Order: sequence, then structure tokens, then C-alpha cells
Amino acid sequence: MPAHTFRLNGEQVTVEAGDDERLLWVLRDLLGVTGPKYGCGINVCKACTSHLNGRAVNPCSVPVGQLRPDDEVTTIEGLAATAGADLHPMQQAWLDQDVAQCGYCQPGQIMAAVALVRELADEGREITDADLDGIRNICRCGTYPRIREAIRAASRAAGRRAPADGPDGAG
Amino acid sequence: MRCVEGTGRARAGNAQVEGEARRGREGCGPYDRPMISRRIPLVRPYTVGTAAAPSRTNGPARLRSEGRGVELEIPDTNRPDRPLPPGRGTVFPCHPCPPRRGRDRTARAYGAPVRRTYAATRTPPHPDEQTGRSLDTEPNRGDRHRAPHHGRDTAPADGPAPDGPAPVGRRRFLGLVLAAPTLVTAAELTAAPDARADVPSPEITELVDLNDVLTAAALPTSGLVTVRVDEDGTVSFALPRAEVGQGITTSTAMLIAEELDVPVARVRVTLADARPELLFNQLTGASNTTFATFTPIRVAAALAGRRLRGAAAAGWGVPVSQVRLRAGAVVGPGGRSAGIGAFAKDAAAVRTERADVALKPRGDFAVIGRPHGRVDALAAVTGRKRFTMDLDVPGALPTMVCRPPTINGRVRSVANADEVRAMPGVTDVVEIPTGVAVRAATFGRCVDAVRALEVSWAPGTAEGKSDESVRESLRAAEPPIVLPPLTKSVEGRFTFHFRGNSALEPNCAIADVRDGRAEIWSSLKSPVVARQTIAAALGLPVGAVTVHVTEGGGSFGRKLFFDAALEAARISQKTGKPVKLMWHRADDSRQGRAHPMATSRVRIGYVGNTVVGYQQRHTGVATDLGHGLGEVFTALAAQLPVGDIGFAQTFFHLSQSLPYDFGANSRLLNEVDKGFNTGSMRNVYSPDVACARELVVDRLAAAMGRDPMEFRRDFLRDERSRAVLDKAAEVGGWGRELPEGVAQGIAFHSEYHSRNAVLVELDCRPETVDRPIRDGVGGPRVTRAVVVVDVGLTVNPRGLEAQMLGCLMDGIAQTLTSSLHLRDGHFLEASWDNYFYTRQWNTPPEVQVVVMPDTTGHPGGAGELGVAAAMAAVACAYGRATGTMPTSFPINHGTLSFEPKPTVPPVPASPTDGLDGLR
Repeated sequence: MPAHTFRLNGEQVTVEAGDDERLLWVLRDLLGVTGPKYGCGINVCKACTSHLNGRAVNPCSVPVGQLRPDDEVTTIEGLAATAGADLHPMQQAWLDQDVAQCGYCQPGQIMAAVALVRELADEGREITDADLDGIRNICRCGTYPRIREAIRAASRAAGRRAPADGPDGAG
Repeated sequence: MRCVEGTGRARAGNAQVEGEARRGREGCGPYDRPMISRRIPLVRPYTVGTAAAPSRTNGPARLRSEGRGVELEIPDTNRPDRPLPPGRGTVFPCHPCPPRRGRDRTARAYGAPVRRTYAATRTPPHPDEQTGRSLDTEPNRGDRHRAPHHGRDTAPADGPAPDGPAPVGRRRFLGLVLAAPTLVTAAELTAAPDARADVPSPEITELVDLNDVLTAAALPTSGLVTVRVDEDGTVSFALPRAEVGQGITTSTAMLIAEELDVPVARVRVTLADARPELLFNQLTGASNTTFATFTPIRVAAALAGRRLRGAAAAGWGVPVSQVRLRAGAVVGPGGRSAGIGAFAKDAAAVRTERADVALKPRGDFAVIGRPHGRVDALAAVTGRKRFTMDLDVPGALPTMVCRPPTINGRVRSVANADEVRAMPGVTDVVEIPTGVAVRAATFGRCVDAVRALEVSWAPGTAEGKSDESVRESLRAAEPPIVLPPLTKSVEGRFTFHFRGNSALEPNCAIADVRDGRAEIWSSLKSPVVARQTIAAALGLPVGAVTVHVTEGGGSFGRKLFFDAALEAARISQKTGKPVKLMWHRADDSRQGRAHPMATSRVRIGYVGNTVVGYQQRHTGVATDLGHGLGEVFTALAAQLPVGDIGFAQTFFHLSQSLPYDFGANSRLLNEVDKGFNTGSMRNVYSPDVACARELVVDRLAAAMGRDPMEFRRDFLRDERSRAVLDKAAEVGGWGRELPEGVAQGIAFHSEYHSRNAVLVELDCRPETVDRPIRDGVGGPRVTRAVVVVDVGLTVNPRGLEAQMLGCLMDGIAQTLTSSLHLRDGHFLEASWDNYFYTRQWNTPPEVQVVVMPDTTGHPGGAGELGVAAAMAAVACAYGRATGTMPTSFPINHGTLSFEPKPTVPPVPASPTDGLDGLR
């Protein structure tokens, strides 16, 4: 069984798995990192959304053999550390809006939201309704309106921090 | 009875109904053995707490069987001059159907409602801004628990010292202090809340509805729910329900925190394992949890508080009247203070004893009624919340099932089991009744193994069937609809297609069946029934089966069933190894439970400005209620005023009501074809039934030249309903100018002793409908929605708002986008990009939820309440925007907006392109 090395939530990890084992199962079944959820297995529902080098990725669609040793995989478990706090501002915004209902999709929602706000910051523009409409993550509880509010709030907060923190302030 | 087809049959089968009426009035005292009849004030619609009981009352509901359906006939006795019905053996007279005309617009002085806006252009209020709301804007209105007023200070001798049997007044309740090393109290509910009859109307659901049945079913065992206080000051409660996102762990923690004066965060609410002794008290459904547990949970908590005060008073040598509970501490004179944990042992009982306790008066509520964030929110946003598939049960390896290409097909033979067993990571391949199970090191290996299996399949239970053929059989089974001749009428016939009630978490369960014992982990809303069924399937005694209820990733009716738990148990037994079974999304969509396809036909007769009759014929593929809800009805059916008409009929009549005064009305349900895996989706029959009703109400208003909102308010049965509708119209700006192709819709629904009105604005302009969406459906968009809700006493407004948002999203999906397409005995949908549940691009950019002030003093149901009116409002708006009343739902069902995936192999390959665009 081949060994695969990459960075996971700030630490170097090596795991034995088939090259074609999808990262989602490497995380969940082999490494016990269960924040990313299964919702479809075909990169549709986005419940497993995590970050690869700071950008949104869906581990259900990434053969682990494609990862490089210096690739940084961040799951919901490692998100707060990227902001150097107990909670990432997006997680705090989620709490402020009391977004979660069953909570199953929310790790993926938060990771997608952080990536979106980061992208907008890179582009130097404000979030729009169209940006929010473009989020594909499914929430079967229908928390969408609170998700929108939380992202707007976090985005506004990131904008306020931006001069001091740089564009990565929100994420 | 009059105004219903064939007057001569009116009194057929009445004896039982009238018998119940009699018992309801003359029968059991308030503390006799709990039975449903005494909780149905068939002839006493006003109960204690209303000083001047109006003379208006209800005649008996009457049912008759007509072969293909059961008809509920309800006399319209909603007249101020109607005397109390006669007593035993008296035949109720037929009388002319009184025309229902507009009412005056005098609204009750409702307090300021709580409103929250989700809007692109607005800043939501800070949560603290919502806390100033008074729950007691009208102190005496409908509060049957209020007088005589007992505060804590009036409680009799507190503390562990044994009390003599205290007189139990209206607001005092008996509880138990259980023999235990630490303080454990239990509620023993001897004073059931009166059946809810806050509306004087002839609707059976207002005499006794589903919530009453479930609550009544739960009564004999409610004493077994316990509150425990430990020495570290934590308060624990094992909730005999399933938390699937609806927020009941939070609201339960709030109830306990309220009575025990501890911070909400100090209360640990866990989900109880299956406990057979709880019987029906462990079924989560019908938006019933808060309704049924509101009192017993508070009684147990209040008793715990009283014991703690007593123990502290004894320990300190001070009068108990000088000891208070405050924020998790016991405080006494002279600055004495200690955490409640310090007295947890002293307050414990050496032998189980009864004690009575008063509940906190509503005016003193500091937690109930104030917005509170979910108790599991932090766990959810950090990924720490553990769902079934996140549990680490030793040796439980990932397991999936290769399933048939058609619904409920059976395995004939497997050609390559050994070959698949030899695949990397695969440990087992075994046949089970529903397919071929594979167990492997990872779910990725399971997917590969399932895809590699070569299975020959026998036909299923829906072989060759399609949307068209099912619709034809439904049409053929529709009960007839007849109105008296010479009556003008409006009519509508509607089709509601199959819908998936999949949650985002697929069906899943962990099972360890070895050495004559079984242990199951799954999110189950009917764990007692699951346990019995699994024990029978495994050939084990029930006592050898342990069922743990885990946190659920959504339910929407799905988790009333335990399909995965049963499968997992079978697989574990057959392999002799623990298994972690998960359904693939494609399995969940194609072989999982579906909301039945149905037709609904509505006809409303009118003469001039008068509505003289309403008839609805609802015909559907059979809804499977055999998950425990059925057992409740089995046990109680004989005691219900609806007679022995079967589960589905009973459920239908108990859950459906006509909120308008439309003269004589009859609603029939007929169900056919048990070949499908069905289940009640959130709000069960109501979304379809209400959507059909509200569309024809719009049509009727148009025929009578009336504004649809004004028309509704004139015919609504009660003030609560009108207040909710008025608020929706006011907040939503009913009638405001909109561009062509954009229209408002407004709809009303009442159920679970709650009221709900929804107003939406729907944009049907081509540029909106045709907006490009990758792998999804755009279509008409709800641009604005206002949801107004009155659930009586709201425990957690923030949680209630969340439920209303979810209901709204469901209603939008059901009208516009979500359905399953049946073709050749299988559903085409196999993914979330096939089944179009509401997505962000369908979400209204602006949503307002308004929570009305308490109108009843008791919580009604909420979890499913908002789906029906939301679905109907969107449909009504669509009709108005396009000029054509929609008759087939969802409106896009005729267009297949995706490429169906193959059925063999049953699950799609895992993609490999996840890094595209990232390198």
C-alpha cells in the first residue's frame, strides 16, 4: 500500500492508502478526521468542503495520490488555527446568527464561505447577492437565509480588519 | 346533516362520537386515569382560564364509511346563539347551513410581535434587541395554567422532609424524587393539560388533533423522565426524543434552566437510548415534542429546585422561605451561597417519594420566551458534533449495499462474490434481503466493490410503473365529489408528484451483533419500535438488543424509519462483525423513502357572497405510517372520536383542518398502491392539501370579485388566525405595486394548535426564470417572503424562526423545483444535482419571520408548521404572476432538467477531478 504525505491542519501526515483512495475517506476512515461530511460522494452537495492551500476543495473528488508533500489540507478542525484564535471569524459569525440546525452541512458551508470571502478580498470587492447565489453547498434544513447573513457579517468584519490585517483577515 | 351529499346518511356511525362527547362532559375527573376521552372537550370547547365561556360550541364530529373513504361531517354550530348540545343519547338536529359572511375587523389587541429580517439590504437586529418582549401582554387571555396564582413562595414545606399528601391545585403538579445517590427527580404527570380548544369551531382537529393523541399516548409513562443534579453542579436530562436539527435539545435545556434557575449552558441534554418502558413517549414526530413535554420536564426541574432549597435550608439551619436559587447557586440569608452541586447529595432521597410542586408563573419567566442560540452550535461549527458515521465503534468498518435497479428488487444471484471479496480492502460480501452488502476498510473501497458486483435481480414492487401510470391509478381511485345542484362552484384538480425526504445525512447506522447480543447506533425517531423489530429480525430477545439514539443530520420524516439500522443489524449478524453502514446518496434517493404522489380535487360552492360548501378529495399512493405512529393509533384508535378507520385515515383527519368557515365541508382521503417506500415528509399531508385548498380559495375570491387576502380574513374562523394573516399582509405590504410578471401570494394554514400565514413575492419574468444555473434549476424566484407564526407560547423564538426558515425553503422547493421522476419502476434522481431542493440561487434574498406574542399560554407545534402555507403562497403567487393557476407540482416536473444516471451499477463512480482549477 503506497504511503502518502501531505500537511493536514498544520501538521505533516503520512498515511498508507491506495493512490485512488479519495481524500475524504483518507480523512474520515483512516485518519479519524470527521469534520468533512459525506453527502453525495460526487462533488455535488459540498458537505465535505475543505481547503487545499487556502482554496475550497472537495475531498470526495481528490485521489489522495494527487497530493504533494507540501500541500496544506485544512478541514473545519483546523480552520480556527488559520486565524490564530479559538474560533475563526466565520465560525463566530455562524454562532452570532445561530445558523446551524442539524449541523451536518455546516462545516462544509463554513469552509466554502471562508474561501469565498477570501477570494473576494483577493479581488478587492464587496460581496454581492450573486456571490451568495453562487454557493452550491446544500442545506436540507434550509438555513440559507442565516448563512447569507453570517457571510455578510463576516465579510463586513473582514473589510474592517483589512487595512491592518491584509486581505487574509477573514481567513 | 345538511349541505353534504346525501343528507339521509348523516347520522350513520354516530354512536361512538356522541359517546365520547358525553364522556368528555360528564366523565372522568381531572386526575383519573389518563385517557383520551376526557381530554376531548367535545362539548366544552372553552376550558378553564377563560372567565366567560361563550355559549358557542361544537356539535359532534361525525364519520361515516362509504367504501372508498371515510367522510367526516361536521355540523356548523359556530353560531353565537347556539346552546350547549344536548346530553347522552340525544340526536343532534340537522339545521340549515348558516351562510358565513364577512366578519367585522375588530382585532384583538395583540402585543408587539417579534420580527426578524433576513435581508440583503438590512442589518438584522442584535439578538439582545429581541429580549425585551413581554410574554404577558394580555395576562388573562387563554392561560389555563394561570389562576390561582402560585408563586414559589407559596409552596408548601420544601425540602427532603417527607410531605403528607398535599392538595394538588390547578397549578401544582406531582413529581417524584427517586432513590439515588444524588438528586434525581421525575415528573409524574397527573394533571394533563386540557385538550386544546382555543378555537370555537367545528373542526375536529381543534377538538382533538394529532398532538393530543400523541400527548395522551405519552401520559401514563411521562413520570419516567428524570432530571439529575450531580455534585459538580451539572444538570442532566436524557431526552426521550431524537434531535435532528429541530432544536429540542436547546428548548429542553431552556425549560430546565428556567425552573431550576441554572444557566442554560449548565444543562446537559442527551438523547435517551431506546427504553421500552417509555412506550409511545419516545416517538419524535408531528411537531409534538415541546407540546407534550413542556409540563413534565418543568415539573421535574422545579421539584429538583425545591429539594435543593430544602437541603440548603436544613444544612444552613434557616427557613426554606429565605433560600433562593440563583444562576446555578443556592443563596440564603447572611450572604450564604453555594453551588447547587454542594447540596445534590443532601437533596437526594433514600427512598422514592412523591412530592408536589408549583411551576414558575409565566410572568417570572427569564429563559422561556427569550431567544437562545442552540446548545450544540459550537460543536456544529467546529466540526466536533458527532453524527452516527462519526462515531468510533471498535471494529465497525465501512459497509455499503449494492442495491437493485428497480424499487425493492430482490437478489436472484451474485456472479462474482468471491472476486469482489478479494478486492483490496474488502473484508466481507454477504447477501441480505435488500441487496448485497460489502464491508471494507474505507467507504471508497465499498463504492468500488458495489460497482464491481455482478448481480442478477428479480423484479421489485413497482415494476414497470411510471408517473403517468400512477397518476392514472390515483385518478381512478378518487372518491366522487358532489355539491347540491344549482350551486355555483369553483374547482381545481391538482397533481403532486413523488418527492424525496432524504436528509443531507444519508440513511446510516452502526451495528454490532455478536454473541447473542446486538448493539445499534442510529438517529431514530421511533427507537422502541426499531428495537423490537430488529430483535425479531435477528431472532434475539428484545432484552439482548440495545439501541442508542445518536444526533441526526436532518430527518424531515425519514428518521421515523429505521431501514438502515435493520440492515446494519442483519449485515453484522451475517458477517459476525461490527459494521458501519451508510447508504450512498444514489441509494438514498432511489431506494429511500419518498413522499407519496397524490392528487387533490377541491370544489367550493357559493351563492352570491356566501360560501355554502367545501369538498376536498385527496388521493395518494399509500403513506407508510408503520413506524410507531401506527402503534399509537392502534392503541388509541378505539378511544378516538373518529372510530376505527385505520391509521392513515385517522392521521389525515387528525392533522387536516379547514381554517375557513365554508359551510358544510367534507374531506376524504383515499390511498392506493403499497408498492413504494413511502414516509411522511415534513408536514405529511398538509402541504399538498393546503396548497390545493389555497389555490381554489384564490380562485373563489376571484370569482366573487374579492381581494384574496380580504376574502381569507373574512372567512377565517378565529382571531388568532386573522391576526396572523393581518400581520403578514401588513409586513409584506400586501397589494403593493409590482412589475408585470412579479406577483404576491398569500396563504394561511393552522395545525398543531398553531397559526401560520406566509406572504411571498414571486418573480416569473423570463430574465429571472431563464437565468443560467450550472447543473441546477433557476426558474421563478421568490424575491421576498414574510412568515408570520403564532405557536401560542414560544419557548425559543430564535429556534422557532429557524424552523420557519426551513419550512419556507421546503415550501418553495415543493412548489417550484423538487420532485422525483418515476420511470420503469425506478426513480431517475440519484444526486442532489438531480433532485432540486432549494439552493442558494432559489433562496429569497429577503425574508422576514414574525413571531406573534403568546396567545394561549402553552406551546403549540412548530417544526413542520410552516411548510404548508409556504408551499401554497408560492403557488398562489405563481398563479397570479402568470395568469394561470398551477395544477401540477412542482411546476417544473414536466421538464427533466438533468441526465439520469445509470441504475447498474447502482452508484456512480467517485470523481477524480477535484483538483481541477486548483493547481
